[in-house]
Amino acid sequence: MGRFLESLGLSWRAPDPRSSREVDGDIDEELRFHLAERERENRAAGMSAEEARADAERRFGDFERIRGECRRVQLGERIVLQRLNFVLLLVLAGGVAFFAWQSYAAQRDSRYLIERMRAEVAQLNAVLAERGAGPASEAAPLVDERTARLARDVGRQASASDSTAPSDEFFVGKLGTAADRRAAHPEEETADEMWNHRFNEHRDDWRHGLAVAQRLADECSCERAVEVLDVLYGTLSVPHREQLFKPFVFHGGKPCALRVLHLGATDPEPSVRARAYSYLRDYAFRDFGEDYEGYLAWYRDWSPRGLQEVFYGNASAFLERVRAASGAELAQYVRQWRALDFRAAEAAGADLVQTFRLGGAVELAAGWIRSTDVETRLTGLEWLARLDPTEAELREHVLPIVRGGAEVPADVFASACGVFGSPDRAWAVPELLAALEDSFELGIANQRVAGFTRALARARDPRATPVLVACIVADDTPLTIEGIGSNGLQELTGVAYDPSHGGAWWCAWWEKNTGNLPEAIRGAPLPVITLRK
Amino acid sequence: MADERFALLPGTLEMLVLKTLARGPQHGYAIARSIQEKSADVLRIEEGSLYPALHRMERRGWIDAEWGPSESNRRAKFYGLTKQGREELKAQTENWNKVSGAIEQVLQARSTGA
Repeated sequence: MGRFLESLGLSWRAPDPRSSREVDGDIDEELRFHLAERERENRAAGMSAEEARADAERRFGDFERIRGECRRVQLGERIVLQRLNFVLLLVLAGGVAFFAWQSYAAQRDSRYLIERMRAEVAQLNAVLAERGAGPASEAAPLVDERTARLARDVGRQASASDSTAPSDEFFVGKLGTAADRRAAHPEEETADEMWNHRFNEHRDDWRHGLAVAQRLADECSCERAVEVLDVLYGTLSVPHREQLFKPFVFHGGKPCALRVLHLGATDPEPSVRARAYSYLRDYAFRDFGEDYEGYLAWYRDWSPRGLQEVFYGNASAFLERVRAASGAELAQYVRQWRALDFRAAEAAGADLVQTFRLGGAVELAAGWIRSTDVETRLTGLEWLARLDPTEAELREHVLPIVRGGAEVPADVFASACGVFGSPDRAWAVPELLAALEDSFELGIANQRVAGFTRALARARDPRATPVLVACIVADDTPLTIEGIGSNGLQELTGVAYDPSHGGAWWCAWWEKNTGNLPEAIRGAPLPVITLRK
Repeated sequence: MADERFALLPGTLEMLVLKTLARGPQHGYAIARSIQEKSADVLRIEEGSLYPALHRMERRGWIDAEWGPSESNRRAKFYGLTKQGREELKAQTENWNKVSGAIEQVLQARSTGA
């Protein structure tokens, strides 16, 4: 089967548990991510938005064709199974029809046989009566009994052909009995053997290994999970060893994460070690790569200490390395920092944001924001946004970018605007609205309006609504209608974006709905936005 | 100016992907970039064609995949090399070395005819 499918360009594996819609969604999201990344990079290299998009699409190739190919690969088995199901259904329907005909024919023949035997009985009784012995008082019941038994047998054959499978109750009863027996005799299997059995049920299926590891992490204490893994680790297959760390490190991780990761970090299989090292980055703030000795030294130093101390100590050391670095080394650290997940530290009670702030990370970010290099500025903004910045810090380092003129690169502006897109920063809403109005006066609204609108929508502040409506009224062009309508006015007003909703439409909408809007803007007149002449 | 880049030879894309993933899990865009950078932009790949190949390799068990946050904080699909993939990479690399060595020998051989 596998070879046959391989020859068709398919490979045989267990069907994907996701629905077709989920598979389609994942494919679409993955391909669009690629296009967006290429476009972002093109923009950073100085291309206009249109050039960046066109270049990304050209390099990518025919999107629909590629999506179709991915879909065929992902859903190939399912399509084959659907076809097999259809063929099986046809065969089954044919079989049922054949047996139904056989059953009908058998019943018809039986009825004929019974009628014939009744006729014979009647003839026999008539002969006996003619001989003066009256109706056959002994023979008749005998013949009738034979006839009745024959009829019963024929009937039983007919009903047996209708149903040959045991009932559902039979299976339920069996399963229930087995479960009851296991529950009643837990001593039949030791716990370690049970986990061994669970893991090794499907040794080559990494999804199975992940599922069992998840159960181990969920059902056992950390100490117990480590004991089980210490005993079993050497017997596990590579696909399982590659997966089993995930439940212990994802979503904040478990307190025993380092001990579990140590099993992988010292694994003879390079692919397992590479996984373990990638997860260790969130604890060590270092990329051990192929540096096995470096890892062992690190583990010797840090494993005896508590997780909080591990996080605080390694985060501080990392910040020192960043501070001392420059050029390519710094870029490498920044990439590393972007990928860091603070949730493990949070779960361990370590406040890394505070650690970084006390270590001078805000000042580092501010320096990068002032750089002339676009990528460095974007890094600085991203870094600062993760450091829970105060209003004063944002006013000093980020607001000037948002209020800046045409000299601010589009990506830097969009990133700076994004920092304010939060309900916690309501103080910034009037600043953003003033800057938005200024952008119309400066004649740069086309490049700015989408960024402003997104940030205002995320701030969920109703004060933005009349200003955004007024912008469309003042500049009734497709770019403004789309930039405002599709990026936030929809979220603020509940009105779905429609390219035909121009200034006149929004004026009428405002007149009609102003009495029902939130108190802060109820009945307010629309402001007047001045366009650059 | 003439385009100095070359299309990949059939069957070599998978080997390059496996080699790229040997350093650790990466998403599709990073894989495409890495191949282009490592080849000094000489190899020309239609970037989208990478994805059917990645999905095929995932179905064959050479790589596995998981969703996670990218450098730009968007959700991205990260691919990682499995043990089976590592063995496949070794086999494909050895095969490639043999074939390219043989071709090189043929090209370098001096004509012995008149």
